[in-house]
Amino acid sequence: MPYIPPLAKLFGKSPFKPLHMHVLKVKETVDLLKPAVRAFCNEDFKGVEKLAVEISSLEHECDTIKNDIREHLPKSLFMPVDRSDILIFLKEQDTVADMAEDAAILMTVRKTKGMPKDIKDGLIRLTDKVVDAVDALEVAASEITDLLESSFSKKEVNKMLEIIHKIDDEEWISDKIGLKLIKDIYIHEDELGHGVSHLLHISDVLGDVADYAENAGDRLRAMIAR
Amino acid sequence: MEPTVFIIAAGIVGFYMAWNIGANDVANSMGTSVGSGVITVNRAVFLAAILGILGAILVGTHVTQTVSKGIVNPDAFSGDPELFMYGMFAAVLAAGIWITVATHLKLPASTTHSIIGAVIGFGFISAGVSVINFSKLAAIVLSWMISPFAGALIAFLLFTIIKRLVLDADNPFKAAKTVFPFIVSFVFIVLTSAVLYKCLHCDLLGLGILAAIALIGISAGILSRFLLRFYHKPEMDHYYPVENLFGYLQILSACCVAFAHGANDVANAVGPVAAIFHIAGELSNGVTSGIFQQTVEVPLWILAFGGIGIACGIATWGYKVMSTIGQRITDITPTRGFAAEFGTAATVLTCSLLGLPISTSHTIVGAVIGVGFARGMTALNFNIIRNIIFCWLLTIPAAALLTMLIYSGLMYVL
Repeated sequence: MPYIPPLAKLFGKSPFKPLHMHVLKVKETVDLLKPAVRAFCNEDFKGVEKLAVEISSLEHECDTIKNDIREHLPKSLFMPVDRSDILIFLKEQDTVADMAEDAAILMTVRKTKGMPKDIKDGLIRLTDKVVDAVDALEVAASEITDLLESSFSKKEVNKMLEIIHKIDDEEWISDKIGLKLIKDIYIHEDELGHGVSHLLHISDVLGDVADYAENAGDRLRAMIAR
Repeated sequence: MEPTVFIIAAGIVGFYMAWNIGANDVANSMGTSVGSGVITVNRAVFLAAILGILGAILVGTHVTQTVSKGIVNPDAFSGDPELFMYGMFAAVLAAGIWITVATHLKLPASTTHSIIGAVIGFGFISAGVSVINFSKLAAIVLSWMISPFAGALIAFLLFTIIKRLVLDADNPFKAAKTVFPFIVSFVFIVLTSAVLYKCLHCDLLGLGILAAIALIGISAGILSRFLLRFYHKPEMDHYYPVENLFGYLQILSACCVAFAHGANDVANAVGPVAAIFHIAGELSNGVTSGIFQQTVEVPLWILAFGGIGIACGIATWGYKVMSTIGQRITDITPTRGFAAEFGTAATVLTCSLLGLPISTSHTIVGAVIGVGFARGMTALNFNIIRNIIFCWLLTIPAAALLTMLIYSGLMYVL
């Protein structure tokens, strides 16, 4: 009869390690947007198709981790941060992967050919910036470990705030690149034809990836401010 | 029954109870240290056993007298001292059985609470409600409610101080090295105070007792400061070397808990046994009256006997429990472990000296929650509080009822 002393029962399953696993998986998902968008620009539609399948399965893995965290977060769990902040952060972070999946699938629905070079460049630049924003989110989420270890020391809190600020910056820049891209798409509206709405949609969803990364960062801010 | 046969039976039952205490509660003293990985299970078992015996011998007596004599007024039995003897026997046996049952049901039952419940049950069935000393009982029950809060408060303050002075510092490792000797001094002062409290007025080598305590504390601090000079760690990240350094303090505080544990809990096993031995001894000398009039010092050898029983429990079953607990607690790091354990040790030692039998396991749960409130723990399961209260409410009547059954059985047979 293995006796479990009350002290051992006192310790619940910490959500922070799986939370880190989740952000790593989200980053892995979003990272694949880079080759996917490049393949799309090179009109390698088979390659896009293949990458979209991969992104889709990674997104599913994110969902699995997310659900696992939610299931192990009972109301009786006492944590140094608010439970609802964790749940909302998780949701925003998971939507980042959802949006990446949407963008990848959008690229498979229509074989848009003959894009002018500045639109291709714009798409690639936008994607890179969006991935940068998610990278910053990953750095921030990893910083949670140090934050907990130091029991929210001022130094670690400031470090965290700086990283979150970087997510905001990346998102802001990606917004500007996105705007320029939209303008370029309309400049070339005659050659692109129906491709216009396709490309607009793609650039919109790519921008969303960074938006949700920013939202997740905002939620981290709420978590540490107390 | 032959007194010698009965004495042997009482000894066996007392040993069984002591074994239970060691087996079930020891994980509370060393569990966090094993969990944070600063000490191996084997070493923890060894340290806990040694310090449990020491605590039992050096600080044990205060509580022992409370358990056997404080709750049930023995004067009611002055006409028939054998009844009291049988009652105490039934009480230890019932408490031991209840612990075994609770362990099977995986309930966090406290050995302290079981024995108190059992003693109440005996008083109730043998002489009615009137023999129970309610003011003493109220004080004990109050101490059960207060001790987790006291542990929580001390642990909260201690962790907050560590956070302010060490974790918030620009260079936490350097700050830790500065603070370390002071904490060592403090720990030693508390520990030696507990040990030397009994001889408050005695002179050690011409020194007053307070001076001796201060001297031991300060020299321990200075020694640790000297040893720190040889302590270097590569700073791969800021907190790793800090935790590493606090690992030593955690072992020190875990030793304090093991010591306090022996001091506090040995009474549960040997208190009633000591009462039996005393009465049986007097009876065999032909004394039948006036047995309860004098205060009985619990003989040192009985305390040592209980201490060895606890050590046996630790060495056999406690080993298993400790391995389980070590795997379950990975979140507790030495800074947190130290705060929680020292908070527990200070609370339990104080209560032992006041003669209040409290539950070590409930106090350490309170202390860990205290650290949690200082934002030191990642995830605590508060369901355990409900669980503990439920078990607390169950243990008293269950142990009391079992005692009544066993006592009635004894009366029927004898």
